[in-house]
Amino acid sequence: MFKNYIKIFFRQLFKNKAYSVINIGGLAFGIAAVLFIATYVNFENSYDKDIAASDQLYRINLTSFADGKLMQESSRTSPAIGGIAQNEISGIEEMSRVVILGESIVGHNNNFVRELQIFLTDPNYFKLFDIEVVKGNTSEMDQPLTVMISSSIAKKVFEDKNPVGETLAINSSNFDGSVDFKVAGVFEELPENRHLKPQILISYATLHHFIGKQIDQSYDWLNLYTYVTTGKNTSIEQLNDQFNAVLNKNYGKQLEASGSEWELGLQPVNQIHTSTNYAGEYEAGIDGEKLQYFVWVAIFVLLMIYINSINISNTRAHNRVKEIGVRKVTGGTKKQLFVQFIFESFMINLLAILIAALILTFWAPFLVDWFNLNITPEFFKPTQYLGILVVLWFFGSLISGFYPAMLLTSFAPAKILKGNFNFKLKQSLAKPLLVVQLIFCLVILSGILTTYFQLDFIRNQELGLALEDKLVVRSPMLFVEGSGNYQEQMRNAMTSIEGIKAVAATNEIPGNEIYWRTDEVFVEGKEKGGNVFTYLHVGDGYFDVFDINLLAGKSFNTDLDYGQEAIINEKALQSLGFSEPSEVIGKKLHLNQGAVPVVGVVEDFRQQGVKAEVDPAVLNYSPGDLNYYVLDVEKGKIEELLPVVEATYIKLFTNSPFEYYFLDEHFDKQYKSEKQFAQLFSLAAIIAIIIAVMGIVGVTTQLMLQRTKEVSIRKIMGASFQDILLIISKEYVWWFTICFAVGIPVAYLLFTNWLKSFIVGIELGWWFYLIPAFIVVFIFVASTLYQSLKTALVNPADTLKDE
Amino acid sequence: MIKLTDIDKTISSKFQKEFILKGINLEIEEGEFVTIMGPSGAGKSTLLNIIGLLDDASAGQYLLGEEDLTSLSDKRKAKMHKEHFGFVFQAYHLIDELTVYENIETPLLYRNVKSSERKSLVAEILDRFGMVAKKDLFPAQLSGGQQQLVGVARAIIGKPSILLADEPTGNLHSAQSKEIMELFQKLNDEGTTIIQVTHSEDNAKYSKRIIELEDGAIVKDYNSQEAQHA
Ligand SMILES: Nc1ncnc2c1ncn2[C@@H]1O[C@H](COP(=O)(O)OP(=O)(O)OP(=O)(O)O)[C@@H](O)[C@H]1O
Ligand SMILES: [Mg+2]
Repeated sequence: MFKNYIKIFFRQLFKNKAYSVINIGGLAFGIAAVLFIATYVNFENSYDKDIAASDQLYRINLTSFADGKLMQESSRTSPAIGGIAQNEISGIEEMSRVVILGESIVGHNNNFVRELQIFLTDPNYFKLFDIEVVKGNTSEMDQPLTVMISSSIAKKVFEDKNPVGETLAINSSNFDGSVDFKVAGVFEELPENRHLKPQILISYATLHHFIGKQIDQSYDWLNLYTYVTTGKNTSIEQLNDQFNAVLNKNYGKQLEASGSEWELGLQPVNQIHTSTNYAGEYEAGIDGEKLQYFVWVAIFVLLMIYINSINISNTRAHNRVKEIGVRKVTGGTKKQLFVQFIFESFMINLLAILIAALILTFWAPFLVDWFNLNITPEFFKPTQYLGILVVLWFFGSLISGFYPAMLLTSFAPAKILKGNFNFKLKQSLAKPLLVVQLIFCLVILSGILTTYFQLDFIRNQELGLALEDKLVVRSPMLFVEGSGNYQEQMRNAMTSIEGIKAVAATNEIPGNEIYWRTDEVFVEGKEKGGNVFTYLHVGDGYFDVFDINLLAGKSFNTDLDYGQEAIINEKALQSLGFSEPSEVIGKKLHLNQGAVPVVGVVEDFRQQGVKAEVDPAVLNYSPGDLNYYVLDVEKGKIEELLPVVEATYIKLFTNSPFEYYFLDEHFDKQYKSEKQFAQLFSLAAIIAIIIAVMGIVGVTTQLMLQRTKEVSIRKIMGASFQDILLIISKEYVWWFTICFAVGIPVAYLLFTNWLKSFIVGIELGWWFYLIPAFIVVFIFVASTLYQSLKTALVNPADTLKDE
Repeated sequence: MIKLTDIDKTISSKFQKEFILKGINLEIEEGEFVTIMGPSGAGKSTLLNIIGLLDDASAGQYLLGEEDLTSLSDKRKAKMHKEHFGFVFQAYHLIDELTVYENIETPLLYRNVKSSERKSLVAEILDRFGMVAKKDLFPAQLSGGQQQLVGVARAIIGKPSILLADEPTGNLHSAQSKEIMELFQKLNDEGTTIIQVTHSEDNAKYSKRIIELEDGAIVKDYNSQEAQHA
């Protein structure tokens, strides 16, 4: 019997090629898109889950309050917190601290590379994070001036030499120059899906070597990550209580004195990547809630393709009625027929998922590249999504096959076999389903529009600093070139180029986080506010180049040496306990290096865009060597001047590579995840819309064909072309009314909720209601125009004579 | 064998009940060859459909032998179709996507006949109808007469006790009609009960009994051979 079903199935498939392509192609593309989205969500959720004891591994986060008001939820803690974890809490098994060193130049002999992923940590780190050591061992990692390096760094720096026991020079602004380390071992490259992917791990003992062992007693050096493993089945709530009790016992008095309050909390490490709640993350994660939206998008796409498939089956029903009649009178039961049609649905869906898997295989690498995703190829292996495919096959077949099977088996053979049986789509759900598709289109279009408007909005926020026409050039590799007064040289050389207005040196450019933070900032006679200040060294002309407004005082006196004066922003002004900018001018500001006068107050500027709040900032002047030189270029000349700048740079620094960014592009990179979201969302949305359009064309064509006779008769009775168009479009007006009445509120609820997840969100204006509605009408009219006109222009003589 | 008692068929239009069949009483014995005639709209097809369980009567009783078929479930109807009825249609109603062979085989599939037996049964009937050479063609590749031969072959392959035919030759030339009618006669001689609806006097001549229907009621019921003699 199934042989018979298979024969019929394939012959039907090839006989109605266009419909088969629309049906299977729609399903396949939809499923491929859903698989891609699922893989993306799966990947983003997979971070740190490969660690053996992943469910016992936590990071300690710190929430701080000032005067009862929530100040910050931070991923960073101080060394003393790790001490508490190790010694005073029962239920904690191991502890490890991680300090960010920041970008440095590392090398051996004359082989230097720039590396970003450098951290200081203890031997425990390897155990906690399940890192495989391939050469040497971790036992020496409790000694100062020891490093472990990744196999790729080993290859880059030491080439074929065994690095163990060799010297690695690390040149970092945090070391004030170059320091030699002994390589204790090499570890296996970490997978992409880890929240930290260290390339170089320096022993934590090195920190003791530089700033003394007493750092471990510090509560306010809030600069490192503390990780712990708990015993199996330990209550996290109970641990949090213990932590806060001990913290209160040890440090409660000091906190109270400064009006602050701290709360420690354990966060599972495997959830770090999908939360964006905590300040001071090394790498921006992705909002887990936004990932949820992708699940919705996937469900949307699936509904769309199944509705489409149902509609196509329905419009093809008239092809099958005779067969159904014959099968019934030759003894087929309704049940057997139902099984036959469900079987066909399983076949259609099987073909679709096979094609989808093929599409994904060829398409995924291209998409990953296009969207700039981190997903590694093994996530696209068919074994990764086999489960989803089976589930989609099973449920998809039932969803898309059930209604058509019900419809087809419901026909009474006596009526069918009479000979003039005319199946009317009116009898099926075609129209309601079509309206549902229109609603989906509307919601999806509103979504695309909202995401792009929001993206555009956050990128064009008032930042308080000018980013356009800025060429950033990295400082030369100091310990290759030997240190010198390069700031002066760079400024002189670059400003002598026609078209370069000014040069400003800085240790950190906008778009990057300033890692140098301290709360040891206060004005004589006032109490410490307990806030963390960022600390930045800049050169001459910084405020002019970035167009940062001075509210009071003046800019730095460039005759002075390093760090003799301070300029603060408005946030810092408030944190220090002042309200008027002028009040603070001339006051002594206590900093790490001693007390210096405040000479100016500038308007707040958003170092990290709108994704992070503005931090209180202290800026110091430095005439020496800084990390970046920002060239202020005349409007539109940046591309043209680039080769000139490069030539000038190479002449000055023969041994350093010329590395540059366009500042606005670099700054834009921090919106990568927003951009990815918008792009992925649009991809899925556009596929859903294309599928919907195919469905709309299929159904309306069939509806129109069925109205040809009616239209012909009306014409004979004297209806004009306009009358006919009016009659045809009357029905559409109803569909649109329903579509807008349902779709707009649904879209509104969905997207106002989504916008709440941003620090600054747009208002949904008139465009939100009008543009998608207009596009839906446009898409619909465009996809039905041909058939509508054909029907309205029908020649009655042609259609009525075969009756 | 077939016994209809006070069969009515009504349809309810907006304002009133309308009778398509009214008070039909009819007995047909095993082995009879009956022709139903009458003007268009008289209710011939409706009556045939009720006998063939394609349609339900609105009132009355339908006995087939001892069995009461008045209102059956879908499953029981399918069982009766398998065991008792074969249908031949004016429009042939062959499945376009199946070959001649596969079309004829279809009823056997629903009867769970073993593959080897199916093959020999279909081969036998193809041979008998002289269609062996055409077995792999699709319906669209056959003439109307050939299609109807396939239709008859499909109707009788399950060895039904009753063959129902609604204007089986309505779309055929007279030569083709004759071939089909002769086939019916042979089947009847072999014991199959046949009930046909036709407008053609020539076709009616093949049967022994003619029932004339008008406005949903039987107006004449006579032995055609005797009537000719009279
Ligand atoms: N489903 C139905 N709904 C309404 N009326 C019906 C239906 N089926 C049949 N009729 C009516 O019942 C009457 C008898 O129909 P039937 O098809 O049995 O006639 P017939 O004798 O076979 O005619 P013909 O020789 O033209 O085939 C007709 O008047 C027809 O309009
Ligand atoms: Mg009829």
